[in-house]
Amino acid sequence: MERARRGDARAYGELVRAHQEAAFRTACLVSGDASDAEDAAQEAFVKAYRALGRFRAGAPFRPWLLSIVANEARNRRKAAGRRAGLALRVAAETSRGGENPGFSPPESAVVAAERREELLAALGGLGDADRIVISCRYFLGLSEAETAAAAGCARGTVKSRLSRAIGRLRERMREGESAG
Amino acid sequence: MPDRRDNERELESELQDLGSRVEHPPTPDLAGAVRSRIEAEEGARPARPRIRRPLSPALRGAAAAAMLVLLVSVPALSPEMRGAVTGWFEAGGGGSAESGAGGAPESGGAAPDVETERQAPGAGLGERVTLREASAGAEPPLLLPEGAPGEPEAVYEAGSGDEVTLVYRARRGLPELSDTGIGLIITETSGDLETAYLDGELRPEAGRARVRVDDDIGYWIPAGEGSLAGRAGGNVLLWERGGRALRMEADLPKQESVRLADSLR
Repeated sequence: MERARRGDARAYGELVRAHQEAAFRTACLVSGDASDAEDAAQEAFVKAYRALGRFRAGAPFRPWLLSIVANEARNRRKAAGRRAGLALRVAAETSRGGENPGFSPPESAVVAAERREELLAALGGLGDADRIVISCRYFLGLSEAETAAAAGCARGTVKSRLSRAIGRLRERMREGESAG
Repeated sequence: MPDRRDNERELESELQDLGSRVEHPPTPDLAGAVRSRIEAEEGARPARPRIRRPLSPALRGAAAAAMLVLLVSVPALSPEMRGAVTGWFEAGGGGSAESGAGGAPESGGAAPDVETERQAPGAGLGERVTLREASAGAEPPLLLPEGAPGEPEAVYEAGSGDEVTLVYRARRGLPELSDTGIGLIITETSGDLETAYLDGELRPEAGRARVRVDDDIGYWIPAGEGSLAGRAGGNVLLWERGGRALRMEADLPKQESVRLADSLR
């Protein structure tokens, strides 16, 4: 980090590699589009490089970076006039009988897979703020500080926002179960 | 009867499980694209074009000629050469390149006449400037020793500011280089060592030892050895830091040179 702060582009490249996955995935969540997310993450890294002189030495880099990423991703989503949908899917189930195409997974596994799809759909129906804070915490594994940066909120409010978002998610799931 | 908290905990557990199964889009290689953009932006800055060589051909020729004379005549310089080299400090006056502030150097040189100093070029090192002028807008920032020997007595700028040379008078701790009155020469060039000095010439040669300067790799070239040998007859240390290729020449042993180089921030 210190070498990058002094203008060493190679050192900054190492920093980019260390954080590009988190940056890109955060941008995907916020923008709802992988192509826009790539642009947003790239622009964020370039802006962060220009602003390294203002970055406080010793402070954690990722939350600061993700706040820039999230801003860039939001700008692109607004410019595209898009209400970000959840651009994620659940990986295809692989059962113990995966090698045998004719094998039927146990009923419990089917039920569990359906439940996951319902959960993902309910999450996609939440407001952006709720969806982003839940996704950052549970799908990207971001810390509280990083989640706060990506969600654009104060670190001290992340727990309460998360709690309320999960409450609303639970309500949506119940509504879905009642309707079904 | 499960309460709300139990339901929430169950839902959190489901979310964590879901998180481990979510398919993310593949992460593109951003590092290469970001670096290309940064380099393109730095290359496109009109005020300070990136120059691959530290000196223009004319200046390189002058510097090479001066170096050859120095190598031949080490340890005693011809009166003419000695005059040219000491002119680095004393053309129009000697002492600090900043506006007269600070005490006289230990060697007892005269107080500087800043205006006339500015007009006098060093021996192939470029235009004489003040440290403030050289530092203003320097990107990446100039590196200076923390602590002794402090600010240089003379500063030269070449190649539209991409190469800056700091020249220090001899003093305690900085033995004089070959009767020149100089104790230390530090040259800073934007870019990397390979481009600025080595340019594909890196070969294992007797005397060119790899050294560590902080986290960076450097090269130690004893006096008189090879084409990168000191122009003033000193030992040379080459290393990279902060986006700059650095060259230090002094009559100091390797360990002390590395320690001094380490102090540049």
